Amino acid sequence: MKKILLLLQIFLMTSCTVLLAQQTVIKGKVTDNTGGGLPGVNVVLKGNTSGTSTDQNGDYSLALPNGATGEQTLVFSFIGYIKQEIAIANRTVIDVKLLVDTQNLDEVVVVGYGTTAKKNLTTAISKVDPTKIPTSANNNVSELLFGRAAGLQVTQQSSQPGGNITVSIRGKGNPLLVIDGVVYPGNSMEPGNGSVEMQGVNRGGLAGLNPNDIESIEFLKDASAAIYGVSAANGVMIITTKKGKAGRMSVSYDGNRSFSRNMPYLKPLSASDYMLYFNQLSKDKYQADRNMAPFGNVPADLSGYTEKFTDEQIRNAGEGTDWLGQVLRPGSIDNHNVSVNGGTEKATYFFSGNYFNQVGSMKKSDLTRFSGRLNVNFVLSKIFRLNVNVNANRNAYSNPQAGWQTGGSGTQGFNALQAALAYPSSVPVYNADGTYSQFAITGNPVSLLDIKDKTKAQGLLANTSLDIDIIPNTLTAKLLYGNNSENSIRDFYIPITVFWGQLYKARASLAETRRQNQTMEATVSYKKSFGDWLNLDVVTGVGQYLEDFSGFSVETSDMQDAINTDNLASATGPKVIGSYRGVNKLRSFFIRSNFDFLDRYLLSLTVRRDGADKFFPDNKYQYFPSVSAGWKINNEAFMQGIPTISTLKLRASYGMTGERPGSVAYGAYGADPNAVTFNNGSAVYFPYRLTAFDNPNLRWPITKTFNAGLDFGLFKERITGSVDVFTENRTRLLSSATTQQLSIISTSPINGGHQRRKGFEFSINTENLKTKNFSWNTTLNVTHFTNRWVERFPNDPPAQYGRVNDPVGGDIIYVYQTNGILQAGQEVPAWQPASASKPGNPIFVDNNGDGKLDFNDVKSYSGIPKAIVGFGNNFTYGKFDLSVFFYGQYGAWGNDFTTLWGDPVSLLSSNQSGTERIKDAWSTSNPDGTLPGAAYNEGAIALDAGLDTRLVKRDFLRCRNITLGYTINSGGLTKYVKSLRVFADVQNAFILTGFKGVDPEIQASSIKGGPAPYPMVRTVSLGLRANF
Amino acid sequence: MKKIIIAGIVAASLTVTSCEKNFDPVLTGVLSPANFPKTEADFKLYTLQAYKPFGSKWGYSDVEYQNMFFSPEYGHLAMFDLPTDQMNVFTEWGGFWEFFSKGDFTFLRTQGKQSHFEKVRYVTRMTQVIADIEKATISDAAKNKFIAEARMGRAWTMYYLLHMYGPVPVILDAAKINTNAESDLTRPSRETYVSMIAADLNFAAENLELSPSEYGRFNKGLALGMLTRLYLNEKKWAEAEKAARATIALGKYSLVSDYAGLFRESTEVNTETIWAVNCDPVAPTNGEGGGNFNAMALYCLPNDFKSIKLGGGWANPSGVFCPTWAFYDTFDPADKRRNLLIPTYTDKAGKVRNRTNMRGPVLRKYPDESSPGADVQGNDMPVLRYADVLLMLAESINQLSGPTAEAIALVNEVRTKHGGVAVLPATATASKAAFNDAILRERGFEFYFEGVRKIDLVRHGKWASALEAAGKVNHGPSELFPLPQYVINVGEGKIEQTAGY
Repeated sequence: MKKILLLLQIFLMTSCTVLLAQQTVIKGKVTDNTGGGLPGVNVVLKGNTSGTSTDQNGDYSLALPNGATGEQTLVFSFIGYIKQEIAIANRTVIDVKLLVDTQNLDEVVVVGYGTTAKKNLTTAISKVDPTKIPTSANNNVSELLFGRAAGLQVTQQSSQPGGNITVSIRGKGNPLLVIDGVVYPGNSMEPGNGSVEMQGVNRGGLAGLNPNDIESIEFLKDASAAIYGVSAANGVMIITTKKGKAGRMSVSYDGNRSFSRNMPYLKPLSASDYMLYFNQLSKDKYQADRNMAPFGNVPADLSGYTEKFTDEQIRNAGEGTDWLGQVLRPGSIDNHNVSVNGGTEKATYFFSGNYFNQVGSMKKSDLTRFSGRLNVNFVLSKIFRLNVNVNANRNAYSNPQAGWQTGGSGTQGFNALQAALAYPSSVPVYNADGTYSQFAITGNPVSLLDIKDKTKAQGLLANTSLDIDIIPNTLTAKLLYGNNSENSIRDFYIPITVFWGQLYKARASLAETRRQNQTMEATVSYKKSFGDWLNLDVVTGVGQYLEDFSGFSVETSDMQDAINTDNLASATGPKVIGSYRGVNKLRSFFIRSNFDFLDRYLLSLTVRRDGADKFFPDNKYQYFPSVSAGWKINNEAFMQGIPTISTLKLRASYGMTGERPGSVAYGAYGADPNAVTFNNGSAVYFPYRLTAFDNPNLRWPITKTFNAGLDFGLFKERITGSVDVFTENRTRLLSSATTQQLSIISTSPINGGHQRRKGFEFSINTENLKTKNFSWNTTLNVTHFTNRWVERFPNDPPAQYGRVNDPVGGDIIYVYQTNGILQAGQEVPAWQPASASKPGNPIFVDNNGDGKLDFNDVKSYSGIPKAIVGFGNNFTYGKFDLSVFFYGQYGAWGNDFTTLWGDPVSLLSSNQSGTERIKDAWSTSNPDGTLPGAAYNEGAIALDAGLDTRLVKRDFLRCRNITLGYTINSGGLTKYVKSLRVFADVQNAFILTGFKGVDPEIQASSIKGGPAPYPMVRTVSLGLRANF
Repeated sequence: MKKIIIAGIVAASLTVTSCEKNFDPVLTGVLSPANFPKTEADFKLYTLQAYKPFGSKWGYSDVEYQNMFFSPEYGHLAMFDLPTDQMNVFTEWGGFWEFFSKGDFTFLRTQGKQSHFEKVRYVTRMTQVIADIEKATISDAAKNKFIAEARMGRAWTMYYLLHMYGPVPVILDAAKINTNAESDLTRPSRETYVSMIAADLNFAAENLELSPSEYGRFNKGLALGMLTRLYLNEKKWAEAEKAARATIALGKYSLVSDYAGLFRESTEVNTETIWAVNCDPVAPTNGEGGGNFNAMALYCLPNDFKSIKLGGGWANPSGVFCPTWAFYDTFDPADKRRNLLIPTYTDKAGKVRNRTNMRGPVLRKYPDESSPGADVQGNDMPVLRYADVLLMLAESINQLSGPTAEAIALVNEVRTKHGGVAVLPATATASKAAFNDAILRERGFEFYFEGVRKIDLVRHGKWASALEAAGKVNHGPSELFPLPQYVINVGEGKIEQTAGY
């Protein structure tokens, strides 16, 4: 690093050396197309390496040796403007007007601590322009990102209002999030609801940010992230918000209304089918349990068996209650945005306000948000500029009664949507006396909607920065302070009138979480052109990053419904109180130098040194260097004769990034949350026990990333695109790993393991047709990656059937294969497990043909898609515009746990009904059934791996948006409105998939009884955007 | 300009160097090893972890969410009473209830780290606690008392693990902690393992108080009684006899005359119960911060059984723990101990239920008499009673010397006092074998639903045959649990799977 500093100094000194030879002085003013003076423009005698630059007013003066003024040429250059060469022709005053390089302007890319022209990029950075994406039905920035850039994996985990959408770069997990230079927590902050094992909430981060306020989103996918060192192992997502522009005040209004309908959901059994299949399967179970024929050798004897439902009952039952209809409904969204922007030379401003109100497609599930943003920029003096950004937001959620129970409870822990699937259609909603009906130990689905579950979240993101123009456009400094503070309160109450957890009991929980993230940074940047041969761009800085978080919760029971959480002191039940607090500190130094030689050879060097307080002194700090280089082949002389190729750039990068340590290297004794009590509970102790050993050797994990890419443009950029290949090695991972089996502490932070991620990505944009009235553009991106272990953590060997280099984590599924259902009288294969040898069990496959079933027969399937695709087409015809956008994935496997609703064992527990999948279960009455029957009990077989009976492909292609717009920007109306666009958008118009569960993207956990994820919705929006 | 740059760089470098200062870790909510544990009060809190597995709550978080030895689910009653001839098979909830009630433990092979096996880490932890106390600068009296509690917890945990998995690898030498010895999962020989438990129990018996000031703490009688159980199950009859006599010699205990009262809140503290899980009548069932609770009424009463306080239990058509009619019928109808099994009742809908439409009698050993409002009961759960010591002594004597008058008198004392029935018939005491069988039968009447039946059957070599006789023909290959597969995977080939799996 010292060398780099030295190099920097050398460059600086060189630049300060002014040629002393003199004589003729040429003066002039450089202006932009508005006529204003343009400061910082390089003025150089062609062929020379040095010259001068314009001052604050755009004036310059350049001394040249006598005689040079005749035939020589001056070169005027400035980033973002078209370079001009002007012959001196013996003039002493030369004024120049530089024109904006529009192509360049469009392609400025935000990188860590600065921006760069896309053509000069040496790393893999994807940019998403949110203004080109429909936002009507979307409250979260993440919703804009599905399929929009190569290398992105964006997955909708939950479709509830504000539902969790995971955004990952090349499958790496949550990227570091930086908004206007301030580190922002990427995950949601959801307080719990105490010990009630009912958790419908699955929300993502970024909830406080209005998608309409976003100017651009950049993804730093490779070593470009190294400038962020720590926490950048998963790449960086940089969000830049809209700023004010000098000029007339411009007001815009964007408003729309959306209507949403649930996509096809799981289909519950009708009342008569429930009775019929219950009878059929329970008879089988009765016989199988007693080893009666055809399940065993005992002669069939049904004398002790009575059918639960008579034929007449079955005949008369009909469809029965539509329980799903009782808890689901059509949804809607109202979304209104107003923004005002404008300013003078001394101050510019951008203000926006947003109201977003979503009525969820499940009853009692809503989201209301207010957010406001103010960005102001003051020019205090020639030297100082002050920026202030403030974003305030308030989100109020009514949390859905969907999802699944969080603990080990069974049907007694079901939420309303689970209960709607569990209640047989033969049960009416109300008893004859008007009270809620009740089936088995599950609460009535409609009554469960009376549970109050509300979350209120507030956030304030404020950052202030002072820009100091020490030398305009050359040497600048910046001081930044950013603070994001959020709090969230969860208010949960089960009224005494609601039967849940086998009790009628008033239960309440009130929990609050708070967090604060501070970013303090000081940076100095230096930009200089050295004639034609070198453009230098250096930025260096220091930073301190602080996060603190805390929480408080109270859980209690037995109070008046009318008072509930408003006065917890009135509760007579035991009060369980919890609180916590944590602080993390990071400190950093960083520097980046970009060298652009001869507009052909690009070199970028970065170093970051990060320190974390949680390590021991010797291991607190870690260097994260990177190097990247590019070759602009199209600027080479030999390419000039090939006009077809307008852009051709080869680039490569290599660098190191780290991961914010979640672990602490210091030993500790903590209070056990589990009380030890004596005297029948009147003597209460919380024992203190060792929770962690000192771990002085613990240090930063290191991720080493290599990326090589090619950017191309053909036919005057009508076809542009990029190809990237990458390899990433995560080494000495820092994780809370399993300790040795007899260790006191079960998991301990440890550096170990090695994972390797490899892949490629490809993106292309084409202008297929362009006539006066009609245009058609196509965009396509494809991403592929794998992520495998190279070396495992000690004490965590792969399972017997696994290999050391299997895919990482949950990305792999191990199963025993099955092939059909064992029929009555069919010969049982020798390797069939003893407890699965009765008819109706799946037939196991002895893969290796050794005549026995063991781990050698297990097959593995990857959960990572082979390809992730985004594909869009945009058409304009006159004032009409139409865009159709698809995204999808291919080649990923998964377990569909909604099939648990089709398990005969669950149906026969008499605690729940099931879905129509039951109809495919094998039984003596349905020997053609393709799914396991009543004699099958997966748990009883106790295999070391699962079965392939739930294994499904998760391939899909989803039509995310079809948007049709019409823009009016001429004619009589423009007297009142500068421009007006009316549009209609269909979000999630359709999906092409073979997946039979709720949705191939949405999470559904393996849980007792079965999960009931929030249904996916199709949304139609109508809206208008007016600019005044 | 150059100056500014250089000044900037110097300033930046200074800031970097200053980064090294003032950068201590911020640790919140924990105590540092630098200053804990030091005082006697510290060690009192530190030693209390010994009690952690010996409660009755849903469980606690260590590794994963683990059950306690006396938890309502996967606790001593589920492990040692459900998989016996006395209880019906319960299939309604599927999963582990069904498998335990069938006596098939095969499914535990795929169990994760919520397995009781993870309590081997607790054993190491107690070894560390003992070593820390030994090094402490507190009074010797306090040291011995704390060490005795830690060793009692360690020994009892090892005893239960023995009856689940057979001998398991343990670390009893603190010098091995944090060394590779923690990866050596070789099972010790049964003899070694048992002698280690015995050494701990002997120390505990010597140093624990006879009557600790806080009810629920480990006591001398518990240590001696557990020593008796240990030796009895190992068929070390002489040692068992000696330990039993030592327990009796404490002079503290005697049989109560009201058997039912042993399980009721008002009389739960009595002259007979040596150690019980002390339960809090108003314990919260959420979180882990409250006292122990007795949830057995919820697991024993059928859903339609209107009881004193509860409107029914959780399961239907029978309770999860539902004795067989066959077991019910083996009682002498006059036996008062049978009164805790309810053969007939009127359900909430007014329908009369009796053995024509009941799977088995309703088990109501713990009546739900706590104050209204609580979901669970405060009835303490006896884990070791004086009656057990007497019957164990009788069994040891019989094994050593046949049915002596003393041995017969011991059984008859329990039988007449608790059951209110006549002394054993002559046929039952005619021979060593007959008396041995009679003792097993008597233990069944006396200790049903107290977490000892399976261990008794195994000692008498009758577990499998008794299950089959009770119709549980699909029981598993062993009375012991299989080791979870993950243990085998990390065992580097040193640990052997339980025989039969």
